[in-house]
Amino acid sequence: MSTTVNPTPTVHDAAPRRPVTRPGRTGPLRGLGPSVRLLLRRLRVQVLAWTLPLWLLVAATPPAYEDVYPSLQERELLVQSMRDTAGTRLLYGVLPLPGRIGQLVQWETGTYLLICAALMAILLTCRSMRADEDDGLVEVQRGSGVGHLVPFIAPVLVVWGAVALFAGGAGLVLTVLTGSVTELTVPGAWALAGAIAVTGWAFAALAALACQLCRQTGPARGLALAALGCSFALRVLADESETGRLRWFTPLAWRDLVRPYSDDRVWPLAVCAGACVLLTVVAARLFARREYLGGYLPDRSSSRRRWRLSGYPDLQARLALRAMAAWSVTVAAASALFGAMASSITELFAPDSATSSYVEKMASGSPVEQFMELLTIMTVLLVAVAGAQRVNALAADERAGLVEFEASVGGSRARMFVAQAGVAVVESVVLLALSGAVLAAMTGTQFTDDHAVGRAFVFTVSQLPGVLATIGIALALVGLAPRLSALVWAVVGWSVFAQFFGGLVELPDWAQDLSVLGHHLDVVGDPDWGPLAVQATIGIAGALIGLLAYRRRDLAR
Amino acid sequence: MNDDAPVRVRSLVKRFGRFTALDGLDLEVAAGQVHGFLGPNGAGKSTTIRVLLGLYRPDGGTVRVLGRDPAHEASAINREISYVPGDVALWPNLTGGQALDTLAGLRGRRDRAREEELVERFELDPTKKVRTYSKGNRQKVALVAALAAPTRLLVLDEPTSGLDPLMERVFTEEIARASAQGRTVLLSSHILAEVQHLCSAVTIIKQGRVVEHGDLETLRRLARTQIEIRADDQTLNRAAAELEDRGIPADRADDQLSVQVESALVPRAMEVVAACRVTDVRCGPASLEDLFLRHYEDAR
Repeated sequence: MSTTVNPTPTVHDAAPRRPVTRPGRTGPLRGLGPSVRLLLRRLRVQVLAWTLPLWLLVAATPPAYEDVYPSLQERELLVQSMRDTAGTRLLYGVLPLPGRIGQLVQWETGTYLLICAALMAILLTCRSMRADEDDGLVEVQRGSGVGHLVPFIAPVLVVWGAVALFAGGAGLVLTVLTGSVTELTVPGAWALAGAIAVTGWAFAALAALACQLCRQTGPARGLALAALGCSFALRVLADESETGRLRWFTPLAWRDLVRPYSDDRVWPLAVCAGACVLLTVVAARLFARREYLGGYLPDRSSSRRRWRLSGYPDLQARLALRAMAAWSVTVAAASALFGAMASSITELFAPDSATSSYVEKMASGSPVEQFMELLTIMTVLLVAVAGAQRVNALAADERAGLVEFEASVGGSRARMFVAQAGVAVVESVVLLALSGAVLAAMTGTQFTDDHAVGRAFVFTVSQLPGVLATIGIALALVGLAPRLSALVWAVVGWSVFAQFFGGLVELPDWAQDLSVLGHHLDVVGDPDWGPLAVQATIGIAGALIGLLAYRRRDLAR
Repeated sequence: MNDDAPVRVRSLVKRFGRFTALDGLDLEVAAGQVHGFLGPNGAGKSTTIRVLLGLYRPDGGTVRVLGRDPAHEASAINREISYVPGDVALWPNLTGGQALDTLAGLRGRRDRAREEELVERFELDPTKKVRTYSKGNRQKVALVAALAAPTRLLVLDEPTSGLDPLMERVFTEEIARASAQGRTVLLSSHILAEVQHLCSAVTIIKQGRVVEHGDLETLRRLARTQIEIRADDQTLNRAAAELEDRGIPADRADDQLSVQVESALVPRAMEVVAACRVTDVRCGPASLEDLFLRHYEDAR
């Protein structure tokens, strides 16, 4: 070839841009690669927000166990009583013998990891599978020539990948810890990682199924979360049954089939993974037969009767009614389950025993006090989540353009803000009263010594200032920066960590007290109003800051 | 400035970070007027409207709506305003009827009979869920609520973008009726013909600044008729030459010739077309895009 000179070499010599998908390729999975990449890009921050704090938790607990109980002998009493304690059996399941550190980790921390993997899988699946369809994003995707199964397969792959990342990271952290904590084993680490992975995959599959059955994101998410609740209850039943065969039917008990750090069984993992794939295939078939925006369950989202509305608070109350009913059922069911476990308190927590010293890491006082404190933190956590979610609905409505329209017909910003805050507070008060009443009533049928009934009620309802603080912080965020409204979940997450693990990892007292949960009054002795006053102040200050900021800023869309 | 004007905006500035969306914008809508608010996409029409409604806080200038400052009295002002957003968001779980009930309930005032009449006119099915509505149907809900509400000022942000031609006609008639009742209308649009048809005054903006404002006469002056003819090469060449002779510049493409003329020159242009015995002729109003290409390319 002769050496001709190209006048504009930089432009013309550049290779032609490669098309994103190969032309001519068709089929139900066309465009899967770009769709998966797009989803990864959209969900990466959320996935890291779930996984990073939990990996830190995994890294922190084994050394803490070793610090507090260096040898098996020192642990013997603790392990025995943990196995017999109704409250801990209820929350975490049965602690395997002899109670090596790995067994303790997979039992307590492992339970949190399983539940968080399940929650992450459910929320991410419903977001990327059903909410995208509701928002019209799937339509855009399909309209650009993407294969018909891609809107189903891409979310499944991404969520399964996120769960695998989460589980793999936990396994890696525990593998690294085998170097410093001698009781930990490498097969145990990966058996636990495997159990977390199959549990997460199972709930991703169940959520995918719920997304096909229901006609909208909200009900689909509700159904999947209800499945999580039933799975928890079924795990408790399976633990109490003789054979344990029930464990196969609840993903939250699959860990106890794998038995990490005890037997490290691989074959249950294979069976469970197979079950997850099977569930996903069923969901995929339902998806393929379903109409766009359709569902298999009848639509009962609201009545078609016309309304006579008396103003903005009335509207918010009507819109909140359904969610509030769902929360009431959840909170009442959890309180009833916990109350039913109160019967065995007397046999436990003998004073000065290893048990009480262990439980004192999380709670203090008499057995009844300890039991009630542990369980009310769980029930009040549900109420705090409901309250924060109600406030964050204001930010979501703003993003959707509803606030703009509501303001344009004369709704004042202050009134809208105060109404939403009011609905959140009323909802929380009702839920706390309901939870306290159910817990007290159920406890009363089992056990009445040491003010058990009164404590069940008072411990619950006197955590109202903590719930108000949560609502106040959420209100401040919505007022100041609605994009950061999700930060309130960090506050709730920290509070759970500080209450359940703060003692174990030996956080300083002030850091353990830095919590919206767990501060309450007692029915005997001098009431300690201090923490409650601080929480109430935070709640009121947050609401005021939020209100001032909300009145001044642009209402964005 | 007219103190009674329902909308008075002077030197309005609105910034989003480093981006200046509105850069010293002036707008005045007189009482009883149907005022066209024109501009290409992204010119700042919706931003201006959101400032008028008190949703956005201005960074400079003065804004008076119904004699009050929307930054401080949005709620009181908006009770007197009917607003139709460009992209109507409604509560997805409610029916269209419940959405109307909600909007009326929030406003606290309602003309039920008028609302039902409008539901019929716009052929809206109020028993269906908002979620199942098309864009046009959501827009109809907002239009029915806006037109039926007993308000003095209508602020409409591209309200016909989802309506079919039949419904556009109903819309036109209803706006004329509102105007006849003495209500003031601010109609944002990027369709010049729609504004010409409905409005008695116009403000045209581009990149956050006013490039033209005036009354019906201004609109008429701005209006152009687009004439396109197709014929063989020889005929087109002849037509182009004759048009040039009459002072009408023509654009020549491969097999067609197009000219834009003001209405006074239409007969003169058509004479040429007739003289050349062209049979393939298209004649219609020139679009806003053409106007911008012609007039305001260098407005900044």
